[in-house]
Amino acid sequence: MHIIQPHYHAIARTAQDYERMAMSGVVAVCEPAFWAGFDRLYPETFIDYFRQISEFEPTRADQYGIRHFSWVAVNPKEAENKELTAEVLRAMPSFLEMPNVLGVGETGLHKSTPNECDALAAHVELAMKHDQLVLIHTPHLSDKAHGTRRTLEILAGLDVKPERIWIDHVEEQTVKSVLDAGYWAGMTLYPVTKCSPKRAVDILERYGIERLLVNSSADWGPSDPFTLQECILEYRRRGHSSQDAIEVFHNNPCRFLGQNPKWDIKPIRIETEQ
Amino acid sequence: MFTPQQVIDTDYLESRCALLEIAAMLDRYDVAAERSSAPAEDTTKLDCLRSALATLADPAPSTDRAERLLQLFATI
Repeated sequence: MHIIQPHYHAIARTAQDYERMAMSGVVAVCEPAFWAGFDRLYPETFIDYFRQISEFEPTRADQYGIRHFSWVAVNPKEAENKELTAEVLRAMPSFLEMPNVLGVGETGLHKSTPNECDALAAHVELAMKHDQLVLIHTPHLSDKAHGTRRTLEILAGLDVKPERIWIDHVEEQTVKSVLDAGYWAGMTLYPVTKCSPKRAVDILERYGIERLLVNSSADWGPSDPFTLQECILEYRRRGHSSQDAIEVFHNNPCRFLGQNPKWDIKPIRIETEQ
Repeated sequence: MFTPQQVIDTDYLESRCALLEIAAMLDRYDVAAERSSAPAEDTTKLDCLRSALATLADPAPSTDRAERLLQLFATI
């Protein structure tokens, strides 16, 4: 089984996770920029962070035969700081030219404040100006439905290509609106706080696999990169074929991410020897 | 021991998660039944789960809900 981890915060994980992922068939991980657990004060801190995920982290992944790609953005929590966000946005275009940077993300909303909404719009506009893909975080728990609606409203007011935008962390109450608007939707599998592997398979069975991505949880909080493999097991256990699983867990990420020519991993098809 | 507020604040997310899994399982059953145009042949376990949920839905103070559920599940 070839697996792609489309949303993986590698700097918060150990080398052992890389090793175990490689042993379970993971061939590539994509690392969006995210919150460090505290609000950073300086644009330079972000720039060093972007260097870490675009220059250093690929070397760590490479030791296990895993390709590493990244995204750059100011995450929603820190987007409340307007001056910081503006400075980092000015620095981002040079990173978008890096050979393994796939686009702008994860931007999005946390509490859907006016500053967050402005920052989301600015990130999306920057991405569209530079012909980049966009990865959008949606809020957690009780803020999710409202934040997702606001995200869709903001996007509707911008000149965007929906097929180049991935709205992440969808659950049962938000997946339909995201898909109906033409965007890609991502399900993030957490042990407790977001979607679960079984519920993700329910959603795949209900809505079909088109424009749906599945990612594990992998950050510095309670999370588990192998929730993705749990989901694959559940999907196969319900009778879906190996090729069906490859379509969801390998080929769909290739289809979305392959819109950026830097992503050179192609969809694969299992062939039986005649 | 936890205070009443600590119990709620500490266990809310895990309990929320457990309830969502139960909700999804019941949805999954109804989808499967609709697809098959028939309910399961033997719904004893499902009926038992629904009885358990009814027990939990009673807001009256109680300290033996887990014990009562185990006794209920022992009938299966």
